[in-house]
Amino acid sequence: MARRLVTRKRDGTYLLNLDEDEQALLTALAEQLDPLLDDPSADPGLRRLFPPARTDDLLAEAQWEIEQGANLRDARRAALEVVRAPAPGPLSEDAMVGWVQGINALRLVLGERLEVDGDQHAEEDAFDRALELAEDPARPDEERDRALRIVHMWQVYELLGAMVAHAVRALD
Amino acid sequence: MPDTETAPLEVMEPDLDEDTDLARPWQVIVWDDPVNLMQYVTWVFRKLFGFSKAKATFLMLQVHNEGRAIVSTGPREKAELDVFRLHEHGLWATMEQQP
Repeated sequence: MARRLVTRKRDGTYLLNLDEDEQALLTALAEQLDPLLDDPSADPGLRRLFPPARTDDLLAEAQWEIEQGANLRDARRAALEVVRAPAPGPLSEDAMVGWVQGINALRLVLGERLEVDGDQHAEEDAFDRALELAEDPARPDEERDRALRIVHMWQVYELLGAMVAHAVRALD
Repeated sequence: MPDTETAPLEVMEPDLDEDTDLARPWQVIVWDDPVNLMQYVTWVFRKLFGFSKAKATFLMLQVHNEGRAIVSTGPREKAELDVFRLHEHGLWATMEQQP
């Protein structure tokens, strides 16, 4: 991606250089994720957004969830709101941090849905298989549609990764 | 005094082990995960803990190669705050008392 998706201005504020389609995609993703935060336990894809803090002590973990679960949800919502509808004009550093947290949260959920496990070859194979299926006229429409959705998810996952990388480069 | 229905009051003996427990510091551990980008993890370490680029990169690589790294130690309240902020950034962090 030749274009810089995030740039830092001299006054310490940040600019997002997203086209309309990219912003529309982010808005749609943020709106899809937001209602799921009400009950993270209902969706295994959200596991990564609410990880355990105490793996050595079940009681302490339950207490942690009671005490911190709602705070974490509020923080996630605030971050997703920056992604959904960033204020026009330059973003403050705090807003920029919220933006990258929100983008990263979307990426974590997609990674979970795509069963990303760190094996890059397996990921490339999964993408190729889905692409092949989606383009195979011998397959029933339903199957091709399903494969095409997976292809799109991989593409969005890559795009979100580029966004995180560009934001980190601007912030660091 | 016979026939009293009051149960004998149980005296809690101070447990020496627990006293030592209270003094033992807590450590915050970040675990490897296949999704978070390496440069993102490094940036989070720098931002939250004020590490130099070299130290943050070292810890990120430790997480990546060894599966986990201790990123902070201190009293319980600090560990809780650090874990919360790491979770907020989407990292998988846990806390435990130092062995």
